[in-house]
Amino acid sequence: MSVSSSPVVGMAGARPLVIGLIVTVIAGGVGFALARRAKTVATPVAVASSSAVPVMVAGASTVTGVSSVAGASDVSPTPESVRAGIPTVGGTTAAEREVAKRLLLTRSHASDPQAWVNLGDAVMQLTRERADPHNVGPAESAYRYALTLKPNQAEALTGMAWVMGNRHQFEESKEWARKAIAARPDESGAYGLMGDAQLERGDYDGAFETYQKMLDIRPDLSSYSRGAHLLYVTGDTAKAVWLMEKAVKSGGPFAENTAWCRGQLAEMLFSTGGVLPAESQVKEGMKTAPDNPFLLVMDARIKLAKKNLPGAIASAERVVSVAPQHVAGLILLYDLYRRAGETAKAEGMKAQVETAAVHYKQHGNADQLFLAKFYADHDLKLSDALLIVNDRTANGTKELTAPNDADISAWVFYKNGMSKEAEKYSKMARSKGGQDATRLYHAGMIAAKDGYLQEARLMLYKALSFNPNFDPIQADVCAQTLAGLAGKAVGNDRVAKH
Amino acid sequence: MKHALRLAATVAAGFLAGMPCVLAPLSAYASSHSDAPLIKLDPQANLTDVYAFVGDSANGKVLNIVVNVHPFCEPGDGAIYDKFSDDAIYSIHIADPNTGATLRRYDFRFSGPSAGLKNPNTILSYGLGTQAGAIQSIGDSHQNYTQTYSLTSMSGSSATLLGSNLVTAPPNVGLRTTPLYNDQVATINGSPNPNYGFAVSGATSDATLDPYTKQAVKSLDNGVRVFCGMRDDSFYADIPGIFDLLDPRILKTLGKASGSDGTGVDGFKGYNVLTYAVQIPLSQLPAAVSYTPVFAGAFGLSASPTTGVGVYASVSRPRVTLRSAVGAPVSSGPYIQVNRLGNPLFNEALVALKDKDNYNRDSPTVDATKYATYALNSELATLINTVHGTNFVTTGRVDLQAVFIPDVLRVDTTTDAVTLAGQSGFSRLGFIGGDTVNSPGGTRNAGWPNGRRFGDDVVDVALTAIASGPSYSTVTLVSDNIAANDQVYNQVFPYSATPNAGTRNRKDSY
Repeated sequence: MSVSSSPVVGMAGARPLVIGLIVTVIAGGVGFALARRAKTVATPVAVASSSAVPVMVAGASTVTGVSSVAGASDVSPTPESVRAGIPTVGGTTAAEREVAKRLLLTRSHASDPQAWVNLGDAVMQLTRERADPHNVGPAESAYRYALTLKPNQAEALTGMAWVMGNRHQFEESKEWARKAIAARPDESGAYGLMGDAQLERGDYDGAFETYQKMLDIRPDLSSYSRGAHLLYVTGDTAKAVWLMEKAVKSGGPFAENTAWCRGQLAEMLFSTGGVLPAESQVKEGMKTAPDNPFLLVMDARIKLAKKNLPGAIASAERVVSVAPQHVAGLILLYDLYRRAGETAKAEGMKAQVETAAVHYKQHGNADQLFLAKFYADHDLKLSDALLIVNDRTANGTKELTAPNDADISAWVFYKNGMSKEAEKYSKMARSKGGQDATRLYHAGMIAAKDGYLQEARLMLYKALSFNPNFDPIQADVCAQTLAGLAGKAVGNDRVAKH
Repeated sequence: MKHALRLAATVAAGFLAGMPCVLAPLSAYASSHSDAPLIKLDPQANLTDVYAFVGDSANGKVLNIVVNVHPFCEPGDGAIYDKFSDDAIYSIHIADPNTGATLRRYDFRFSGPSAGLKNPNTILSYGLGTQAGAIQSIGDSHQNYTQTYSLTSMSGSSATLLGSNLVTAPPNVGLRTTPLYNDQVATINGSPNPNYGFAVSGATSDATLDPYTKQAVKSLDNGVRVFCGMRDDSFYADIPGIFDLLDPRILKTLGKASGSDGTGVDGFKGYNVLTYAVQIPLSQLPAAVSYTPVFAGAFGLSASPTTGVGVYASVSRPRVTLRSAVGAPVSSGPYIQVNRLGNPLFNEALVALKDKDNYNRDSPTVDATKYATYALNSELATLINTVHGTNFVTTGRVDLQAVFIPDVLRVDTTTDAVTLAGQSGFSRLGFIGGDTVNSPGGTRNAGWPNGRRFGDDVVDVALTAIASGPSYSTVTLVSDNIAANDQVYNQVFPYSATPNAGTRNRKDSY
């Protein structure tokens, strides 16, 4: 899980769209294909995300032959039990209003599975906006009830794939998506969720194929943004930016959808050093979604890059205020307080990070790698970090084919003095995707520790050149380590290790 | 597997239609390695890059000026190896930032092939002088040939000799001849060191410089320091990809947006250049001149004017060279400027072919009348529009004029020392990447076009400016997809990285 982005925000929800002629462009800029579709798709698409933190749901039986999550209690949802689980909402945001509206409609259309699917979708959207996993369970109940009314209801099956993806239960998510596609072969949202799961597991080839199907069926914000995100994680930032801009122009039903795309755009630009271009995206996004946690996180990072530490702290505090479970926001604020010398406040944030981790775990998120990275970054509880990583590695490398996961593992191994393992997973992390400052930094630190000083110098230098603001704390460590390597292995100064 | 997402479209038509044209504007993006037809025929006089930035030193705040010449020096080009021309004057001009008029000039003149030669009866210039073996210090018995130089300061017609018989650093022949440049650790933890024999760079103090470089840095009177010798080519860009019909690894944008994803290939990696450099205490500079910095008042930068100097480089050769069937050529007559360089990219990417050689002969004082049109009416923007279907502004580019006319690097000498590549806060994109520097007049851009530092990504900054200006209502990041040099720069004078080794370098062996 990336701690640099929202733990709950997905890749943008898709909504019914009418599709016309689609001319397609082959990535790489050398060829084009033409595809024609004309279809109205009414699908609640949602998305797992590269940083989604799953929430354990109450209630999960095997409705369609797919195993439910462990610990589920709402085995046989009823209209009453579903409604009872729906969070009480105000009418502040569009998502809140949508939940209230869809809840009402389940009373007038109680026998219509689509009404329950729509309710589930609205609740999932609420989850995205609040970065709070509590509501995934109620959404799952709504989907499951829809399936009791119509076992092969494609949208409900897709909703279940969304729920599972949100919990980082990617195999389950794929299985639900397969069911949805079997029920309706042009269920574009299911392709999206299938691709999301493939992406999260590091199966980039599979994700490209699956997203392509989604793009062919329905080119819109949801499919564009997914494609953009995949291009980004596989190293084609330039085209990713271009495609994400198309996603923004396509628009979505909720301000959050576009805000997420703006946030992604900002992150892409920021990751290659473009602070001002990233700032433009954030400012634009905040016009319609001023309290979007993802945008606020980017706003804080940009302000820090522009040497405005108080402003960065204010933005990060706003993140934590509007989304108290927002892990990236909590960790960022911890780092910013440390930079500001606000030790007591930093300790408070550390406690909140750990509380959030417990919270997610209690709600079904078995993915605690973000906590392992947090510990490793700050030399805290390194043995606990190692336990988390070992728990993942014990499941085999299949769990670690995603570069970010492998990189976090490498970093934790490094911090625990396990050089061989650190090197192995660092190589794995860099075997896919494009250059990434954090991965280069980790690799450089590992190389330095192992005595490969030339490698270390180059990787640390390139990390800083690629994005000097890749981390509020670690970027400085990177520069200090690079400086410390000066003169080593020069002339007669045969320093094998530092 | 090659991934291909097939997407939508309107952009596609424009891109396809213009594809073949894409080479024209971008082929010139080599800073100044291939700037004009005539100078291409004279590599020893062909300037490639000028760097000028404010730094700290034991002598207080200084202006560092580092000039590279001779593109694509082959590190393994034995047995003679490249050296400075002995009948050229290599100059650094301190100029008026507004007019381009030279206020002071520093002239470097180098010795010829005979002077400094210990043993004419061998084929080797390095590794065998009066004895065979590795060079341990410049000019020792193992170094047969040592090029020397003098430095003269010119103010008007007044000349002051600042130093003479100064030694240049030797080329990096390889581990066996010039070992002190290179990584000598053969094994690490019992395994072969993959970088054994490669140049080592990244010094952060004089003490951590390699011994040859350290020895070649000479301190003159009044805190002035100088260096000459072969160094790594500090410029980075994907020129090969640009030339090969715009290989998709660069400028993959189909629309207007872009970013740098590191998939470009540094066409200069592993190559060397010849470098001449001077570090001048600010107190020793001509009086600073008031000027308005580029982007003043925008992007959080101070709106107030500041003071500083302009910097550019030139190379001049004698008017007449008489070749002889029985002896060495003889040069005579006044010196004629054959190349000049201030900002990166101007002559290469903006000036049309008909004027490129003229530009090299001229002084920056005529830029406003003769060459401003090339900045104001950017053909590069026009060509990109044709190719990509973009809508970049092609005329009235006063923003580009402010950068390039007159074509001198304008350095704000009121600022604190700027950050250096490898240090916290350094951004290759300068203020676009949030990298600013304080001055009494407020916040200033830390990188090009406020002077130029090692590591400043001038290609990305220039492309971004072309895409975003002149209004800059939004900043569109455009990149050639190469974001770092192949070697780590030094953080002390002469700043450029250690020369690549002839036997092992990132061009041939890696």
